[in-house]
Amino acid sequence: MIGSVRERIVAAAVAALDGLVRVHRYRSIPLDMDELPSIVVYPVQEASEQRDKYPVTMHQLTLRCECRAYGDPVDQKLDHIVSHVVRKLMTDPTLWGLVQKVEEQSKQWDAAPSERILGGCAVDFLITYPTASNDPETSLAQ
Amino acid sequence: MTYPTGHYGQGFGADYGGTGSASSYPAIGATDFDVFFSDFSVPCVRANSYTFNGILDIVEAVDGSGPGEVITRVPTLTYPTSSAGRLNIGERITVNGIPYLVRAHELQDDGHIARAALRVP
Repeated sequence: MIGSVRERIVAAAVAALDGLVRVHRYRSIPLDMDELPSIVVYPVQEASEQRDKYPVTMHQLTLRCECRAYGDPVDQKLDHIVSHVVRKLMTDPTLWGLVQKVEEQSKQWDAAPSERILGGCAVDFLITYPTASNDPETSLAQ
Repeated sequence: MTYPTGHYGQGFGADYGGTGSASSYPAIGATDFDVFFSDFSVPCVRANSYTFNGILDIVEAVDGSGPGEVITRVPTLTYPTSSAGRLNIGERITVNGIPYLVRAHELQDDGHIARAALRVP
């Protein structure tokens, strides 16, 4: 089963990010501290608009790559992971022809005290892609 | 992210923007503390080599929300203030031989006992 274009986008992003730290896809159970540093990739929201004269629906998917690490200063510990995320997802801003464009949208840092200083940086990408209006599995990006 | 609150009801959340309030310790007399701490405590050493006894709790909490949640451990030391005084923020101490840094500190109720939030140096 190929799945929707959105499914292929998430899978492509997870594959592209592999190699530096552990990459998880939409975790349903919390990470343990010994699994850090990690990146968790998941879709946040998607806006869709059907074009008037054509059987095409344009989608704008917000894909989040949440980087988690511990250390002090924790933003510094996260820095090379955040750079890795941006570098890998912007290497080909069409995700190898799967989408129309990938744009870096925002970053948000946070930290919490615990046994170690735990930090996170959520890197959001706005991904624009067209599909056939009657079939979310048919990409019309090419 | 969410900040863990203290083991005994409201506590260190107040240090990080929470409301804080009186703890939920039962009302016990000061003379009971010696028995309480002699039964459950472990040896602690301050940066100036002063030794005292305290009770170490390590509570697990979930930090964050959504798919990026992380399970964290929050070590907290409870001790009679008469035995150790007020620990300093940033002070290095050992608890049962394990080194920690004091990251927050607060007196409880009438001040006879205190709690210190710890982290790994």
